Formats: sequence, structure tokens, C-alpha cells
Amino acid sequence: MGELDVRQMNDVVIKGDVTAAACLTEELLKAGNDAAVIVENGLLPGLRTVGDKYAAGEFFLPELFSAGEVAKAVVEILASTVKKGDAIAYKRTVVLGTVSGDVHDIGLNLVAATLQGAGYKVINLGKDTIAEEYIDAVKEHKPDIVGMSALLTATMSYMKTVIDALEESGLRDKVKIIVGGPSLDDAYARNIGADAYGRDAGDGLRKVESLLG
Amino acid sequence: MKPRERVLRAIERNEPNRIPIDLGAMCWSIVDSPHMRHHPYKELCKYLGIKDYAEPSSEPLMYEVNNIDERILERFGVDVRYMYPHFPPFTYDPQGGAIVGLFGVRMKPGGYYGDPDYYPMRDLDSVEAIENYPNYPNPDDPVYEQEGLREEALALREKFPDHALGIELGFLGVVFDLSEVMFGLDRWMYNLKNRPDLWHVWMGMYFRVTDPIVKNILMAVGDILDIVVIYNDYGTQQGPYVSHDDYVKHLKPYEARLIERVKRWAPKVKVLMHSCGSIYDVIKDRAEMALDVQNPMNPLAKNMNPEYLKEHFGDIISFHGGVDIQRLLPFGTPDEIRQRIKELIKIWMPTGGWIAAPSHNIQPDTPPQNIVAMYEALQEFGDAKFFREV
Repeated sequence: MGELDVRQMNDVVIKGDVTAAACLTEELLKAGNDAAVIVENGLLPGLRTVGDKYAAGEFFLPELFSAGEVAKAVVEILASTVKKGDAIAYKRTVVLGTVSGDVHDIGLNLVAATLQGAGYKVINLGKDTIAEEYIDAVKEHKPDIVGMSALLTATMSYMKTVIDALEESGLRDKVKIIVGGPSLDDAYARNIGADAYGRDAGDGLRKVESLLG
Repeated sequence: MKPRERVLRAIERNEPNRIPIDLGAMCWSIVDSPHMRHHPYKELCKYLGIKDYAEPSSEPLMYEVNNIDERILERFGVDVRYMYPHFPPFTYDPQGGAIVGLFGVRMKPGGYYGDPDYYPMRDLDSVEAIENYPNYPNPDDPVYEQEGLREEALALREKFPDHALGIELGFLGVVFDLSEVMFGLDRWMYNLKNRPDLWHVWMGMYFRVTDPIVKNILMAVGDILDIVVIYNDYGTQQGPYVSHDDYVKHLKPYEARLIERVKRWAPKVKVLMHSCGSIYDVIKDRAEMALDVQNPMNPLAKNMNPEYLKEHFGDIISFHGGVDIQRLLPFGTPDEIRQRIKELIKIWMPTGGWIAAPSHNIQPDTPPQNIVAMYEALQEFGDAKFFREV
């Protein structure tokens, strides 16, 4: 199978068709396509299109979550090939978590799925994550990016606590920091010393890519 | 003009003698979680010199205070008082450390809001599985007969003869948020697109089991109360959950049923729907369904600031809420709050159409002086005479 078939993945993601995506992934792998190529040329452009259409108000949550389901299904199949020794070359590593005191993780998981689908290795620390957990994860996984999420105004201030803690541990310069959540904006991100603010999953992916140049 | 008349005049979009004021229901109260370090309700009591307040209580799935001290409501000029139907008690599942409520909803205590620890319908992928789900409320359960509810409503009316009175229907007055905690938002949305059959059968079951219970409630209290509160969160900060076509096709019919059944069994009451987020896309639809009041106007969400809403929908529906809890109340100064309250009053006077309340539960990091500034300004500047003179 050639390049054209990998691009079929793009349409499948946009349609949000999980069954078709799983079949197509298997076929593409069988035909000798590299996992990274499937991600780069199939899944990622599809997710970008879905993210752009969502941001533009053309797509809504059903389309967004269906694309997320497709990404999960594809990534799962591709990940199973790793065990066979056909390793995926992850682009970079991202550590993500919702900050301490906040138990909201819908946005977090959406960002995780989007980044995973785009070929990043994602260490998802989940919700209610304290500064020490971020620091331990940075030491262990040596990520390029640390992402923090918060839904509540009462918890978003904890992002600064984490950034200060990374600073004190001498790790701040080793990572780029991106923050997200409905009560945040670019100015808030700058004020607390983050490198970027992601408005939603699609924007988060774009910011991650631009931070890593 | 008495509080009740003021509220009803405003809902009917006539000039009230003062902007009506609200605080203390499930979605416009104060968050005070026993699990966290901020305790804004207790701080407010302390700030107002009220020492003998009752320990804050809330229904177990959220941490909004549902027993705000009467002295505070009085001082803030709150025009509405609320009551609740009879539900079976929540149970505690030590296995998962979760509280189990109506429909088998499971919430884990902690944080500022409870959080689902498991979505009981998430993996149900056939019509039969949804029909045979074991934890639907049984309308024949004696608790749902609502014995004594009428007497409670009469007692509330006696205690507050001049106030507007409302009842909250909880899970008996909501389909969207309930679907979120039953399926998970992602699965619910995925199903809407890919398995609408599952959504429609779930909705059929919901109305089959809840219609008789809601009928019992409203037949008991509908002639005593003024407001029935229902809920359907439908927006993110940026926009509605689904496209307008999908809303009309899949969601609108069930919103219409939620409203219609209240009006059928309590024809005199006003229906107030709480619906978070950027929901401008469906306000016209809701007005068509004869919804009386739309809460909460999250003003920082897209197209949801009161100026925009008044201009586009002010003639067809009334609003409740609108005082920003995301920025203004937690981070603003008392002067900024007073200024914004003046602006809001200017929008809604003399036409009516607004009951003033926070745009959701007042958040944990909100200083008590800001809460007081909001309610004092509403009383000071909301007066019709004052408004005309200024």
C-alpha cells in the first residue's frame, strides 16, 4: 500500500469511524507501513483538521470525542506492534496532569489522547497531582514538555506552585511548560511563568509543536 | 412590592420595584467543601459576625451550601426560598469509597466538587442492556409517593408568606448532566454521533421511570410554589456541546419533555432551567418550548455576557444569574463589583427580565467582602426609584 492509503486515515479520523480506523490500521501495518508514518501522515493531519474545525465552530464535542476514540484505537494497535520489536519512534515526551485540589480530567484526557495520537509519548499523571509528583515524573521520564490543567479558579494558582517547585529543584530549564483550562488565558500563563497556554486540545497540540520548534 | 411579586414581575418582563435577588439553590450558592482548605461560607458568616450558624450542609454529590443562614439571606435581600422533593437516601459503597445516588450514579467525595468514580452505563452497548440496567429508580417505591411534601410546602409558605418559593427537581429534572455521569461526557457524545439508538432508548427509560415521580411531586406542591428548577448543562466555555442540527434532532425533544411535563402538572409555576456554558445557540429553542427563565449566564463564556443576551433574547425569555464568579467575584475589588452591578442593573431596568444571582456557585477563593459588596450594591442600586433618579 502506498502513501494514498495512509492518507485515508485522515478521512477516517474526521468521520470518527473507530471500526474503519482499526481495520485500516491493521491493513496499513500488514502492507508494511511504518507506525510513525501512519501517525505522521494519517492520524495527525486528521486530528489537526478536527481540532481546527472544532476551534472554528464547525465541529462539536461528538466529532471531537469520536476522533479521540479513533486516535485511541489506532494508537493501541500501533502500540501493540512495539512489543513485537517494531518500535514506534516517539517524537518527544510529555508529562501531563490536573493540578492538586482539582479532580477534573476530561480536558486533560482529551489533550493526552490528542498528543498520543500525534506521536508523543504521554505520561498522564491524572487528576489531583501535587508538585512532588510532577518533579518525580520529570526526573524519571525526562520529558520535553510538562502540561498542567485546572478547571477551577481556586486550583489554577497551584500551577505556579508547581513551576516554583520545578525551579527550586533545578528542573525548570529542562522542560517547557504549557497550561490549560477554561479560566486561564495567555496573560495568566505568562504571569505564572509558563511557556504557553493551550485553549483546547487542538490548540494544545499546536503550542506543543511550536514550543519544540 | 413584596419579594414574590417582584420576582414574578421580573420573570414576566415587567419593571419590578427592585431587581430581584437570589442565593442559596443548588447552582447559585457558595461552595464550601469539607475536604478543602478554603471555607468561604464559614468566612462569610465570620465576616458578618454570625457565630452560631449551623454547620454547612449540601447534597452529597456537590459541596454547595444548601442551608445558608436565614440572617444572611435576609441581609442580602434574597427574594426566593427553596425546597427539595423526597429522594431515597444516598448509600455509601465502602468498596470504592463512593456515594451512590439515584440511577446508581457514583461520586467519590473529595476536592471542591464530587467526582464520578465510575460511569455505570459507559459500557452498555445494546438497547437491551440499557433497558435491563438494574438501577433505575422504581416509581412504585413508597418514598416517591412524596408523602408529607405538600405539608412541607405549606409550612414553607406560612413561614415565608411574601417570598417567591421554588423547588429543585435534582436528577428528576435533568437529562444532559445525568447522561454525563451515567456514560461519561465523552461516551455520551460519542454515542450521540455513532449510536443514537442507545441515546434514544436511554431517554425513553428516563421518562418512563421519572414521569410518575415528577407527577407526584408537582401534584403535591405545584399550586403552592412559584418556581420549578430544572437543569441541562449544555455548553463549554467556547460553545455548545453539539451542532444546532444535532441539538434539534437528538436533544431538543427531551428538553421539551422536561419543560412540558412541569407545565402539565404545575400549570401556574415558572420553569427555570440551569444550563452552564456558552449556550446562546439554543436559547431561542428554549423560549419556543415556553421556558420562562434561563440560568446562569456565565458571562465569560462565548456570547453569554448579559449585554449580548439582553440584546438578542431579552424579548423572548428572562434570565437568572449573571454576576461573574470566574473573575469578578474572586479577583475583583469591592469597587469593581459595585461598578459592574450598576452596569447590570442598567441593562435590565426598567424592562425586567433578570433575577440577580452569581453566575454559578460562588467559588472557594472568593473573599467575603466581595460577596457582601455584590449583595449590598444590588439592594442599593437595584431600586427602581433610585434607578430613575440616577
